[in-house]
Amino acid sequence: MKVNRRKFLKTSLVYSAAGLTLLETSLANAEWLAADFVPSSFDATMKQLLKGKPIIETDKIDLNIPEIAENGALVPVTVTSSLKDIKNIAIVVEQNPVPLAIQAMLMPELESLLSARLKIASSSFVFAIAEGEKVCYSIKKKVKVTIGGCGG
Amino acid sequence: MSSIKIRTKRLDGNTQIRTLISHPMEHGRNKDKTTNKLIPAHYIQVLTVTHNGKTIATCNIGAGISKDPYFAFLLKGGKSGDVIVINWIDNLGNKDSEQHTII
Repeated sequence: MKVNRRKFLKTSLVYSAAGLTLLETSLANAEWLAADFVPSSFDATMKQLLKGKPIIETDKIDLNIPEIAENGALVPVTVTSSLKDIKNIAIVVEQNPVPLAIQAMLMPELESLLSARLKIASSSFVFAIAEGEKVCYSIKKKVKVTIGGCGG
Repeated sequence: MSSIKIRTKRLDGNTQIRTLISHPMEHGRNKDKTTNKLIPAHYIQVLTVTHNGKTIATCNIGAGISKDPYFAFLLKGGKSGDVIVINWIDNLGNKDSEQHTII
Protein backbone atom coordinates (compact mmCIF):
# COMPACT_ATOMS: atom_id res chain seq x y z
CA MET A 1 0.00 0.00 0.00
CA LYS A 2 1.37 3.36 -1.00
CA VAL A 3 1.09 6.14 1.53
CA ASN A 4 1.14 9.49 -0.18
CA ARG A 5 2.08 12.75 1.46
CA ARG A 6 -1.48 14.08 1.77
CA LYS A 7 -2.71 10.94 3.43
CA PHE A 8 0.27 10.82 5.75
CA LEU A 9 -0.32 14.39 6.88
CA LYS A 10 -3.98 13.68 7.44
CA THR A 11 -3.39 10.58 9.52
CA SER A 12 -0.64 12.21 11.56
CA LEU A 13 -3.09 15.04 12.33
CA VAL A 14 -5.64 12.55 13.58
CA TYR A 15 -3.05 10.80 15.67
CA SER A 16 -1.78 13.99 17.26
CA ALA A 17 -5.37 14.95 18.10
CA ALA A 18 -5.77 11.58 19.77
CA GLY A 19 -2.53 12.23 21.64
CA LEU A 20 -3.89 15.52 22.94
CA THR A 21 -7.07 13.95 24.28
CA LEU A 22 -4.89 11.45 26.01
CA LEU A 23 -2.87 14.17 27.72
CA GLU A 24 -6.00 15.99 28.79
CA THR A 25 -7.49 13.00 30.47
CA SER A 26 -4.08 11.99 31.87
CA LEU A 27 -5.40 8.50 31.50
CA ALA A 28 -2.18 6.86 30.55
CA ASN A 29 1.42 7.86 30.93
CA ALA A 30 2.32 6.02 27.75
CA GLU A 31 1.21 7.65 24.55
CA TRP A 32 -0.11 5.68 21.67
CA LEU A 33 2.73 5.72 19.17
CA ALA A 34 1.32 6.31 15.72
CA ALA A 35 4.61 5.26 14.17
CA ASP A 36 4.23 1.75 15.56
CA PHE A 37 0.84 1.22 14.01
CA VAL A 38 1.20 2.53 10.45
CA PRO A 39 1.29 0.00 7.63
CA SER A 40 4.93 -0.98 7.43
CA SER A 41 7.16 -3.92 6.80
CA PHE A 42 7.69 -6.61 9.38
CA ASP A 43 11.39 -5.80 9.71
CA ALA A 44 10.73 -2.13 10.41
CA THR A 45 8.19 -3.02 13.08
CA MET A 46 10.58 -5.39 14.78
CA LYS A 47 13.32 -2.76 14.76
CA GLN A 48 11.01 -0.30 16.48
CA LEU A 49 9.91 -2.84 19.05
CA LEU A 50 13.36 -4.07 19.99
CA LYS A 51 14.87 -0.57 20.52
CA GLY A 52 18.32 -1.96 19.84
CA LYS A 53 18.10 -4.77 22.39
CA PRO A 54 19.27 -8.20 21.30
CA ILE A 55 16.58 -10.77 20.62
CA ILE A 56 16.71 -14.31 21.97
CA GLU A 57 14.45 -17.13 20.88
CA THR A 58 13.28 -18.97 23.94
CA ASP A 59 10.88 -21.69 24.97
CA LYS A 60 10.17 -19.99 28.29
CA ILE A 61 7.40 -18.02 26.62
CA ASP A 62 4.35 -19.98 25.66
CA LEU A 63 2.38 -18.82 22.66
CA ASN A 64 -0.93 -20.59 22.57
CA ILE A 65 -2.58 -20.14 19.19
CA PRO A 66 -4.39 -22.60 16.91
CA GLU A 67 -2.24 -23.93 14.06
CA ILE A 68 -5.16 -23.77 11.68
CA ALA A 69 -7.53 -20.83 11.99
CA GLU A 70 -10.88 -21.29 10.35
CA ASN A 71 -11.67 -17.62 10.56
CA GLY A 72 -8.80 -15.18 10.17
CA ALA A 73 -10.90 -12.38 11.63
CA LEU A 74 -10.98 -14.03 15.04
CA VAL A 75 -7.99 -16.01 16.23
CA PRO A 76 -7.68 -16.43 20.00
CA VAL A 77 -4.15 -16.08 21.32
CA THR A 78 -2.64 -16.40 24.79
CA VAL A 79 0.91 -15.51 25.71
CA THR A 80 2.28 -16.67 29.04
CA SER A 81 5.82 -16.51 30.33
CA SER A 82 7.76 -17.99 33.20
CA LEU A 83 10.44 -15.30 32.93
CA LYS A 84 10.68 -12.89 35.82
CA ASP A 85 11.63 -9.50 34.43
CA ILE A 86 9.00 -9.07 31.73
CA LYS A 87 7.56 -5.58 31.54
CA ASN A 88 6.20 -5.56 28.05
CA ILE A 89 4.51 -8.14 25.83
CA ALA A 90 3.88 -7.52 22.13
CA ILE A 91 2.15 -9.65 19.53
CA VAL A 92 3.22 -9.24 15.90
CA VAL A 93 1.64 -10.89 12.86
CA GLU A 94 4.18 -11.07 10.05
CA GLN A 95 1.87 -10.89 7.03
CA ASN A 96 -0.59 -8.26 8.26
CA PRO A 97 -0.48 -4.82 6.63
CA VAL A 98 0.06 -3.41 10.13
CA PRO A 99 2.18 -6.14 11.72
CA LEU A 100 1.97 -4.95 15.33
CA ALA A 101 -1.35 -6.01 16.85
CA ILE A 102 -0.92 -5.20 20.52
CA GLN A 103 1.76 -4.00 22.85
CA ALA A 104 0.91 -4.36 26.52
CA MET A 105 2.88 -2.79 29.34
CA LEU A 106 2.34 -4.99 32.37
CA MET A 107 3.17 -3.74 35.85
CA PRO A 108 4.68 -6.15 38.42
CA GLU A 109 1.23 -6.61 39.97
CA LEU A 110 0.24 -8.70 36.97
CA GLU A 111 1.44 -12.16 36.03
CA SER A 112 3.04 -12.37 32.58
CA LEU A 113 -0.10 -13.38 30.80
CA LEU A 114 -1.96 -11.76 27.96
CA SER A 115 -4.97 -13.04 26.06
CA ALA A 116 -6.52 -11.41 23.05
CA ARG A 117 -8.14 -12.18 19.74
CA LEU A 118 -6.29 -11.34 16.55
CA LYS A 119 -7.13 -10.61 12.95
CA ILE A 120 -4.80 -12.49 10.63
CA ALA A 121 -4.97 -11.53 6.95
CA SER A 122 -3.34 -14.64 5.50
CA SER A 123 -1.29 -17.63 6.64
CA SER A 124 1.58 -16.16 8.57
CA PHE A 125 4.03 -16.46 11.42
CA VAL A 126 2.82 -14.95 14.68
CA PHE A 127 5.49 -13.64 17.02
CA ALA A 128 5.21 -12.98 20.72
CA ILE A 129 7.90 -10.63 21.94
CA ALA A 130 8.52 -10.11 25.63
CA GLU A 131 10.78 -7.26 26.60
CA GLY A 132 13.00 -7.78 29.60
CA GLU A 133 15.55 -5.49 31.24
CA LYS A 134 18.34 -5.97 28.74
CA VAL A 135 17.11 -8.40 26.12
CA CYS A 136 13.96 -9.23 24.23
CA TYR A 137 12.65 -12.77 24.15
CA SER A 138 10.65 -14.07 21.24
CA ILE A 139 8.75 -17.11 20.11
CA LYS A 140 7.03 -17.67 16.80
CA LYS A 141 4.34 -19.98 15.53
CA LYS A 142 2.96 -20.59 12.08
CA VAL A 143 -0.77 -20.08 11.70
CA LYS A 144 -2.57 -21.28 8.63
CA VAL A 145 -5.69 -19.35 7.73
CA THR A 146 -8.18 -21.33 5.70
CA ILE A 147 -11.22 -19.80 4.11
CA GLY A 148 -14.27 -21.91 4.70
CA GLY A 149 -12.37 -24.08 7.14
CA CYS A 150 -11.16 -26.69 4.65
CA GLY A 151 -7.71 -27.92 3.73
CA GLY A 152 -5.50 -25.28 2.13
CA MET B 1 -25.12 1.00 28.56
CA SER B 2 -21.44 0.63 28.88
CA SER B 3 -19.56 -1.03 26.07
CA ILE B 4 -17.29 -2.88 28.49
CA LYS B 5 -18.03 -6.09 30.32
CA ILE B 6 -15.67 -7.21 33.06
CA ARG B 7 -15.57 -10.59 34.75
CA THR B 8 -13.18 -11.62 37.48
CA LYS B 9 -12.50 -15.03 38.87
CA ARG B 10 -10.22 -16.31 41.63
CA LEU B 11 -7.70 -18.86 40.38
CA ASP B 12 -5.26 -20.41 42.90
CA GLY B 13 -4.79 -17.18 44.83
CA ASN B 14 -4.60 -15.09 41.68
CA THR B 15 -7.40 -13.17 40.06
CA GLN B 16 -8.21 -13.55 36.41
CA ILE B 17 -9.55 -10.38 34.82
CA ARG B 18 -11.43 -10.86 31.58
CA THR B 19 -12.94 -8.09 29.54
CA LEU B 20 -15.10 -7.93 26.47
CA ILE B 21 -15.60 -4.61 24.71
CA SER B 22 -18.11 -4.03 21.96
CA HIS B 23 -16.34 -2.02 19.27
CA PRO B 24 -16.25 -2.29 15.45
CA MET B 25 -12.39 -2.25 15.22
CA GLU B 26 -12.41 -1.20 11.55
CA HIS B 27 -8.91 -0.94 10.09
CA GLY B 28 -9.90 1.34 7.19
CA ARG B 29 -9.29 -1.10 4.35
CA ASN B 30 -12.71 -2.80 4.28
CA LYS B 31 -15.26 -1.70 1.70
CA ASP B 32 -18.92 -1.09 2.38
CA LYS B 33 -20.65 -3.54 0.08
CA THR B 34 -23.67 -1.33 -0.71
CA THR B 35 -21.92 1.98 -1.40
CA ASN B 36 -18.57 0.54 -2.51
CA LYS B 37 -16.72 3.08 -0.39
CA LEU B 38 -14.02 2.41 2.14
CA ILE B 39 -15.22 2.19 5.72
CA PRO B 40 -13.16 4.70 7.73
CA ALA B 41 -10.80 3.34 10.33
CA HIS B 42 -12.31 3.13 13.78
CA TYR B 43 -10.43 1.18 16.39
CA ILE B 44 -9.35 1.26 20.02
CA GLN B 45 -5.87 2.64 20.54
CA VAL B 46 -5.26 2.58 24.26
CA LEU B 47 -6.69 0.32 26.92
CA THR B 48 -5.79 0.77 30.57
CA VAL B 49 -6.55 -1.42 33.54
CA THR B 50 -6.36 -0.02 37.05
CA HIS B 51 -6.47 -1.90 40.32
CA ASN B 52 -7.53 0.18 43.37
CA GLY B 53 -6.54 3.33 41.50
CA LYS B 54 -3.11 2.11 40.36
CA THR B 55 -2.55 1.48 36.67
CA ILE B 56 -1.50 -2.14 36.24
CA ALA B 57 -1.64 -2.49 32.47
CA THR B 58 -1.45 -0.11 29.54
CA CYS B 59 -2.06 -1.64 26.13
CA ASN B 60 -1.33 0.07 22.85
CA ILE B 61 -3.62 -1.54 20.35
CA GLY B 62 -3.68 -1.50 16.58
CA ALA B 63 -6.40 -2.52 14.18
CA GLY B 64 -4.98 -6.05 14.13
CA ILE B 65 -7.24 -6.97 17.02
CA SER B 66 -10.61 -8.53 16.23
CA LYS B 67 -13.98 -6.86 16.28
CA ASP B 68 -15.51 -6.83 19.78
CA PRO B 69 -12.10 -7.34 21.39
CA TYR B 70 -11.50 -9.68 24.30
CA PHE B 71 -8.57 -9.40 26.67
CA ALA B 72 -7.53 -11.36 29.71
CA PHE B 73 -5.00 -10.56 32.40
CA LEU B 74 -3.93 -12.35 35.56
CA LEU B 75 -3.60 -10.28 38.72
CA LYS B 76 -1.26 -11.53 41.44
CA GLY B 77 -3.30 -11.89 44.59
CA GLY B 78 -6.32 -9.64 44.70
CA LYS B 79 -9.07 -9.90 47.29
CA SER B 80 -12.80 -9.32 47.38
CA GLY B 81 -13.72 -5.67 47.41
CA ASP B 82 -10.83 -4.62 45.18
CA VAL B 83 -11.89 -2.26 42.44
CA ILE B 84 -10.90 -2.87 38.83
CA VAL B 85 -11.45 -0.04 36.34
CA ILE B 86 -10.98 -0.46 32.60
CA ASN B 87 -10.77 2.48 30.20
CA TRP B 88 -10.40 2.70 26.45
CA ILE B 89 -9.87 5.47 23.90
CA ASP B 90 -10.27 4.98 20.16
CA ASN B 91 -8.85 6.85 17.18
CA LEU B 92 -11.94 9.08 16.90
CA GLY B 93 -11.55 10.27 20.47
CA ASN B 94 -14.42 8.23 21.87
CA LYS B 95 -13.81 6.73 25.25
CA ASP B 96 -15.52 4.57 27.80
CA SER B 97 -14.83 3.29 31.26
CA GLU B 98 -16.28 0.62 33.48
CA GLN B 99 -15.81 -0.22 37.13
CA HIS B 100 -15.96 -3.68 38.61
CA THR B 101 -15.60 -4.92 42.17
CA ILE B 102 -14.01 -8.31 42.78
CA ILE B 103 -16.48 -10.53 44.60
